[in-house]
Amino acid sequence: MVCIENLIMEWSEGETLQANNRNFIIAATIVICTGITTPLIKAGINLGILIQIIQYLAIWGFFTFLPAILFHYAPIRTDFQFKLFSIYSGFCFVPYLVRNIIEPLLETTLATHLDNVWDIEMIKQSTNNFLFQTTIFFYIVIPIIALCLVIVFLGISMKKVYEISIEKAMLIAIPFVFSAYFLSTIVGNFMLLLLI
Amino acid sequence: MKQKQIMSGFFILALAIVSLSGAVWFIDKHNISPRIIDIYGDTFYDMGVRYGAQIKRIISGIDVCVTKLELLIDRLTSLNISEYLQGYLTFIPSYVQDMMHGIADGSGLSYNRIVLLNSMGDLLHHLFLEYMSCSQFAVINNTLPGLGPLFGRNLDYTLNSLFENWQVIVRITPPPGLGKYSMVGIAIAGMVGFENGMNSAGLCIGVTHITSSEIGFGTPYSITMFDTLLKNSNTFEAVKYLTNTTYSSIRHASAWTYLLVDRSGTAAVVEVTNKNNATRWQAAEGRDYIISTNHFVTEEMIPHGVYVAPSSSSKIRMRVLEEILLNKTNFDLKDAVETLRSHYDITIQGDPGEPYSNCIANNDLSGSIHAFIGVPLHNYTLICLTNPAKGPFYLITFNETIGPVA
Repeated sequence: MVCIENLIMEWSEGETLQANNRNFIIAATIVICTGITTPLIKAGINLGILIQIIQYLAIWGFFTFLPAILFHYAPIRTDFQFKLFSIYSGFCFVPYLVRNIIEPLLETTLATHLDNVWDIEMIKQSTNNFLFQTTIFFYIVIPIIALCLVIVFLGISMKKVYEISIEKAMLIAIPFVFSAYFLSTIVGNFMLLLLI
Repeated sequence: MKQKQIMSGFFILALAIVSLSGAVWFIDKHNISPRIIDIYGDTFYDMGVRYGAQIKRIISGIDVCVTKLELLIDRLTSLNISEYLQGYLTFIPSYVQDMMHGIADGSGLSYNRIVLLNSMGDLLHHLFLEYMSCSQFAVINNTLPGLGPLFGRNLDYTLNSLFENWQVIVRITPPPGLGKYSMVGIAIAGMVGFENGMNSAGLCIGVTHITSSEIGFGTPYSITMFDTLLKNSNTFEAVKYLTNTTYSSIRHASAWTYLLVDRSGTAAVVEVTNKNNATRWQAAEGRDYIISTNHFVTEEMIPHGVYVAPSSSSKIRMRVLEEILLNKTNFDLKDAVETLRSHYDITIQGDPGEPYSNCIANNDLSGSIHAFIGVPLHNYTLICLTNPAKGPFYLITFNETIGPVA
């Protein structure tokens, strides 16, 4: 708890995070939890967790190393700052973590009203209520909101660590996040092929 | 200084282009409201023109995909694609050719490109790829009382990212006197036929890919399905139509399994190659359901399939459906939706030491493109036009769209 309080203090005071082991461990925990949650909620403890963790670690590595190398060899010539930026990019996974908790919980409720029902009129009635409409709305928009937030957080992180303008940081963050998505599917597919 | 500004400008432009295309792709991937194309007319040519005009906006995108695949086939095989297309055309019914002419005129694409699009699924067989692809099932005896038989299929495909954005739901009313039954199904825009569909008589049909060396000239699979749904009302008729070349003009271009179920609960899987075929009947197998994935099951057809790694994926999927997902009493719409959703889920808990023995497919690299549930007794379908684990299902009838419903 003390760790988290200290962390909140650092954020709220508008300072950059400290590149210490405590923050690095918290960032790594966020990334690992992001991988654990969906398979854990859906199916309990299983090796699917391993695939998901490796996918998210791959994204984390991608988020960390590529901007560091990019800015180091750019004309502005910043230091690599791997550790500090890995802490920041780890915290960027919080929207994914929240999505990975909420999405499977929503999914389990989406089809419940089709239980023992086949009449079209009854299906219409059961879908035409506020609760279902809200559930389906969040089921659709949460992945999009999470993606946007990750882009914003990654942009802010680049700005803080490498001291570039927020516009440039956002512009660079967008393709990074999309590329990471493809990277994770490649990693996941490779793992799946290894295990099948 | 000026050079630096120009370089920065190019850099920003490149980033902007990547970002924009990524954003469009992502939003389209989660664009859940289905594109529904209603096709009708006095002749099949008229229907084609109407269809082509409605997909005009997206047809150029499909053409880019088809061009990429054409190049792939051209580079990896010695196949003469033009010769093959001519070969296919001799087995494509004339009314379908009229419709393809209409689509070409309505969309602005050339006729040859439309023929190529409709034949691409069969041309890809020449690459001899082993896809981790579709699974389909019909549940007959163990469904909820009053619901009747259920048909379910998802489409998993290695080249999913090429095709998923161009899918449409087509509802076809044939010209008066020229076709017996209306149809609803999922197609790639510009395809005359379906990936899976149902007709107004309650006959459902779906297809899965099989790797085989018995390939040649014949009717492309999607057109085969269209022709079958247009002319047949039940499984017995359809099986005869698909397997008896003296009864119909159908000759199969390559290797597929067609799963058929009608509203009376008669279900069968027709396994075909260019040269051979055999039929599995659900009643003869003595189970409450029948399944087909990506391998032949009948003794007659097993020698005609080519099995290379990872064909185990196909067998695992079949086993999981048999032993877990379909093995329920009062199987209802909820179970069907959850089967197709869990079907995608790579995280389903497996047997000890076999983490993936209880899962079927596929992450996003060879992921699910759509899911289709047919309810033939009540003449409606539940369709998800994106990955069913990430998008909602709509209830589609022959004249109504309701939803999302799950």
